This record gives sequence, C-alpha cells and structure tokens, in this order.
Amino acid sequence: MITDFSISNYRCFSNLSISGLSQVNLVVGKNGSGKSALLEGIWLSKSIFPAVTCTDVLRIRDELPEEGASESDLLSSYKSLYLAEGHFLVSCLDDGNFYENKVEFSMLPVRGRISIYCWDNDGNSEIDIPSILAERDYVVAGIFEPIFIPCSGFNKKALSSYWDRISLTDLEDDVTEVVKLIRPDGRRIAFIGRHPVVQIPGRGPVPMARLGDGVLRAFGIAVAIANSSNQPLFIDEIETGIHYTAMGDLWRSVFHLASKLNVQVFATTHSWDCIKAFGEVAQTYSGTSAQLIRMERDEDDAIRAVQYDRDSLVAATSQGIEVR
Amino acid sequence: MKSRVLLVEGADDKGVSVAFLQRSTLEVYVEDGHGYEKLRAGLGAQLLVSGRTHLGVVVDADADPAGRWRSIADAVVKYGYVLPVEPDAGGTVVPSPARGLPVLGLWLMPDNSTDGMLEHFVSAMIPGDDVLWPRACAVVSGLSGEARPFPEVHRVKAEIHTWLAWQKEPGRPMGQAITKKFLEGTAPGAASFQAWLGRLFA
Repeated sequence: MITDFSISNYRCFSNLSISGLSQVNLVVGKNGSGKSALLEGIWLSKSIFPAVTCTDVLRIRDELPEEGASESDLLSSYKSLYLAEGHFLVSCLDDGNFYENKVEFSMLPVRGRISIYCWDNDGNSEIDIPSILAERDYVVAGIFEPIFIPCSGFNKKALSSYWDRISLTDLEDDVTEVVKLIRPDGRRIAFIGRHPVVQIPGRGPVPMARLGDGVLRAFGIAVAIANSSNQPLFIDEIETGIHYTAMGDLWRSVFHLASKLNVQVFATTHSWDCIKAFGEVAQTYSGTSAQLIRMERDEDDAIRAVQYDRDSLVAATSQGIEVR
Repeated sequence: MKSRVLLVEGADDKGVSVAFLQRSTLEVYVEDGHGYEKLRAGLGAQLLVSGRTHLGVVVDADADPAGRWRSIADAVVKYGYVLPVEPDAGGTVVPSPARGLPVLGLWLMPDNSTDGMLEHFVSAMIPGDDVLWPRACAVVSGLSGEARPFPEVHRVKAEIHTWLAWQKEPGRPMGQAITKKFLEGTAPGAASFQAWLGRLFA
C-alpha cells in the first residue's frame, strides 16, 4: 500500500508531500485545488511507463491536440503538465519501497525527423511520444498498470476489456453482487458486443444503460476494483451519476471489495452526500484504514493537503461539520 | 464562511454567549455542540474547517475541572496545540500552531478554576440587592423527598430557572435575561468573560 507521496512541479503543485495514506482515501476541495491532479500524480509515481501514463492523463482531460497537429503543439501539450519549465518529479513509498519518476519532455532530431522524447527516472529511458499515440487509441491499462476512472467513466472498449479479464472467475461473482445491491432484481451480467446487459427475471436481458446511470457507474467501479488486486485504483468524481440514496451501498461495496482484494482506492468528490456516506461506512469498516484529504490553497497560493483521520472524519460527517 | 466560531455545550450557553457578543462589535458564529461528548468528538474537525481563523470553546468544568482540562488538551494536542498545564484565570488563548489552523480559545465555566457550570457563572451576575434571589434559593432549599427530584449537583440550575420564572418578563432564557438587563453585565466574572472574548476574537 502506498503510504507516502511527493510531487514537484506537476500541474498546480510546486511542492507537496503527504504521508500516512490509507487504504481508502477520499479527496475533496474546491475547483482548481488539485484533487484530480493529485490522483494523476500518484498514478504517475507508480507508473512503469510514465510516457504512456502522461499520454493517458492528457487524453482523459482532452488535452491532446487534434490528429495532424504539429510536433511543437504536441510538445506544448505534454509540457503543460509542468507547473514551471523543466521537469516534474513524483515519488512514493509503497510497502517501504521507494518509487520515483522524473519526467522531462524534449524535442530531438532523430533519423532526420523531429520527435518528442520523455526521459523518465531510469535515466536511460527515452520514449518516442508519437509512436505511443499511434498505438493507444483508447485508455486500457495493462495487466499490472493501475486503472484511472475519469469523471466521464470508462469508454465501452475499456469496460468490456476489463470485464473479459474477470469473466467466469470468482471476481465476476463479486462484481455481480455489487450490481445486485443497487438493482436487487438483477441476476447475471453479460456483455453483448460492447454493451453490458443484466438478466432481469420476467424481462430477460436488459441493457445496463437502460437501468439508469447509477447502475452502470457502480458496475464500472466494481469491475475496476476487481481488476485492481494489490494495486492502487483511481476514481475521479466517484459520485457521478449515483443517487444520494445509493451512496451508502456504493461505499460499502468499495470498502468490502477493496479490503477483500487488497486494492488501495483514491477517489475524489464534490458531494456532501458522498462524503457523509463515506464517513458512515468508514466507521463500520473499522478494520480498513480510511481518511479524507482536503486540498486547499494557502495564503501564498501554494497547495496543501489537510488530512482527517477516521475519528475526526466520522465526527464531521455525523455532526455536519464542513470538510470541503 | 464561518471564520470565527464559538463552540458551546447547549442552548443556554449559546444564549448567554450571544448576549455577551452583542455587546461588542465582534462577528462570531455561536454553535451549539449538543453536549460535551459530542463537542469534544467534533473538536478536531472544527479546527480543520477551511478558512477558520478563530475557534473558541466554552464548556462546564463540572465536578472535575482538571479532568475536563486534560480531556480537551488530549483532543487538540495532535493538531499541534499545547495547552498550559492549567487554564488561565482570565480564559485561555492559544496561538495557531501552523498555517491554516485557527487561534484557539478555551473558557471553563464558571471561572476557569472552580467546579461548576454555566448557571454558577450566571448566578454571580444577579445584582447584589436582588430580593428574589434569596427567596428562590430558600424555596429550592425547602424542597425535599418527592418534591426534590433533581440531583444536588444541579441545584443551581433549579435556583436560576426559579429566579428567571419570577422576572418582569417571566421565564425568559438566561441569554435574554442578560440582554434585558435583569442580570448585571458588569459583575467581575462577566467582565472577565467579555475581556476573554475580545482577546480571542480580535
């Protein structure tokens, strides 16, 4: 489990260190306070292929230029990941092991043409960005890469790939249980082409999308957790599409599965209902470490992280004390 | 954004605190903590509220002022606040230990040293020549057996509420009794509390 994390010169962060991270971490804060950027940073710190992860980060935020853009436009997009010119640095301590990635983008002439290169921490690693772009037209993490669920959710290709990996295993049962929590009349789940479908007795197979946003979203989260054994998992705006009454069930599923499969969860939210349910469920699952982190800008506009341990989180959510 | 907050144990504490704050130009939100246990449990989260610059806490010393003081000290030490070994006689004010954390003020009713509660503080504000107070206390003293269901430790509550029931506007809560001047705002204990509020929230 990642316990400590440090970030320098990435997006809005000049320098930030956080220690004592938990198994389930919920990040809150005003817009622009670095919630999503924090998740990206932790993702990058453990990435074996930072150039690929940077590409995924930019794609998720729709920050990659259109096809056919010049190489200098492409370079600018990648350089927008720095706060100031130079490089960024992300590092973490995971089960006592230190991981660090120093990432710098440059334009270099190679074999007569200009290419964008990413240097990562292994010193000698230089990866050609345009060739990564050509390969990855969708964001699907490799077997040992952490999954990042953006606000908009998975695209169909990614969701069905992740389902395929767990289909007909015990993990499929775990995921089905989660869907049944939100939709008790559901039975088995299958994919028809790229579309998830739920068996509803009396109605036959019903496209999950027709059961409302919440079911599909919870399904996506469950599938992601099932694919993240012994890994971190990043979920941006976890409350998206989930009705406030289903928030408790969602968190119970997250805590239960994360604990069972040893998944470390980092999520962000804006929603008080989501935070309140998180506090209530965290209190029940006392064997699983959990915390709330508020990102905020201080008087000098630097970003700091304010951490709430379980007791103060539970008191805040039960007494309605604002944590955002 | 509630940058200046005073946390108190209950509705009467809130009324009294509001009455004192109204005599100043200080802008402070007073929050009812719904009892000491809840207040203490939420104290950490109250310290961490974004944008909070000043947090005051008013709690009853009850029967064990030293124990109550230690209890509060334990609740705030993890955030970097080091309280003095004993409360300051005029009310304690502790500076912010780190960026983003508020100045912290503490007042143990009635006077930061003796056993007691809000009602002792308020009874000290009854004018010395008041004719009703001795009669209220005598009536309460005269109760016994079935006519005395309240515990001895709460006798002063019975006395104060009896006295309030007989005022020109009968039955007004303590806070309003201060605003309507049935109670002497200039009594020494009251002046000390007023001064503490000024020191904390200025």
